[in-house]
Amino acid sequence: MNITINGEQKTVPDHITVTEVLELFKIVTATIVVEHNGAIIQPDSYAGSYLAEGDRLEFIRLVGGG
Amino acid sequence: MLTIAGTSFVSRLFVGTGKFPSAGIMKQALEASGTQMVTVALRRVDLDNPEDDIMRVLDKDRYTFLPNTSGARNADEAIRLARLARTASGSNWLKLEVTPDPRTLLPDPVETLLATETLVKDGFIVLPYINADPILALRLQDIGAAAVMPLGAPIGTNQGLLTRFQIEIIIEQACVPVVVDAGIGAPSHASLAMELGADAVLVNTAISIAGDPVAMASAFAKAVEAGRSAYLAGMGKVTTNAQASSPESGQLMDDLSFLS
Repeated sequence: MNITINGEQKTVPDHITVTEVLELFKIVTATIVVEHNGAIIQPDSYAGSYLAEGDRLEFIRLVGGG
Repeated sequence: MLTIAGTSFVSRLFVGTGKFPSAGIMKQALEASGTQMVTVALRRVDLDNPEDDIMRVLDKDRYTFLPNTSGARNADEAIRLARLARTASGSNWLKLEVTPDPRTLLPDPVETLLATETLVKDGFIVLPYINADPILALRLQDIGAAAVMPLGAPIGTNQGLLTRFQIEIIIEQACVPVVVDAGIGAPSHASLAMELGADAVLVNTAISIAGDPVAMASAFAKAVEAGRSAYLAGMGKVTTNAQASSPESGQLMDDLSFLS
């Protein structure tokens, strides 16, 4: 199925969870925040958050800035 | 000692972490600056380079992190970023930044006021980045901003305190700390802000793009300390006419009066 991650169209397996998407893209979760369809989800919910066709994910982190 | 929202800081130099040539140089520069407050931004994880993580090199016990909402163009975007920042940083500190115009990066006063109101109610410690507008500074203070951060000049321009006179009024009127932010391009600019009575300054570009960022960080630390000491010592008045600094009586010329 197709989902949008950080504004980019990505094809991922059906019935996938947020945890699995993070593993797929080799993202270490300790210092990131996840938004699922515009709502922040907490780390303990990643494994139970299943994605559907057309869903939007944002993976955000702190970077250098003024 | 500077206290903001119940947290005390010995150093009055806040440092931004953007645009350093490497994470290692940034770490060393922060140490050389003596800072205890560093700003960070929020961005999307680079899916092609997911390991690139600034937080791995920063000592979380040493610094208070002040995430900003850079990139937000209105109050709603800033509030969304603020909530992401709180989750990412695990703290309520926030530099509120609403800059709708990418050319000037000047802050939107109306959206900043609206966002501050919401975020203060939501438990954030809000330090709004503002144009040097004394009335706006008072309005923000009244609705619960923990400090105000007036700009000296537009972000990254290194032009110094172009807004000096408005900043002086803000300092005179404010009950919350005043942190001069943006435009500070040289240690002398930072020193001037402190001499005027600013509670702290925030410097990023002037340090991070210097030929030697570590040495520049150290120079800023000295300048901020010198400016603060001068402010506390009490500066002399600025006058138009000369005021002799040597004694005016008993001058040698008295003995030579026969020449006239």
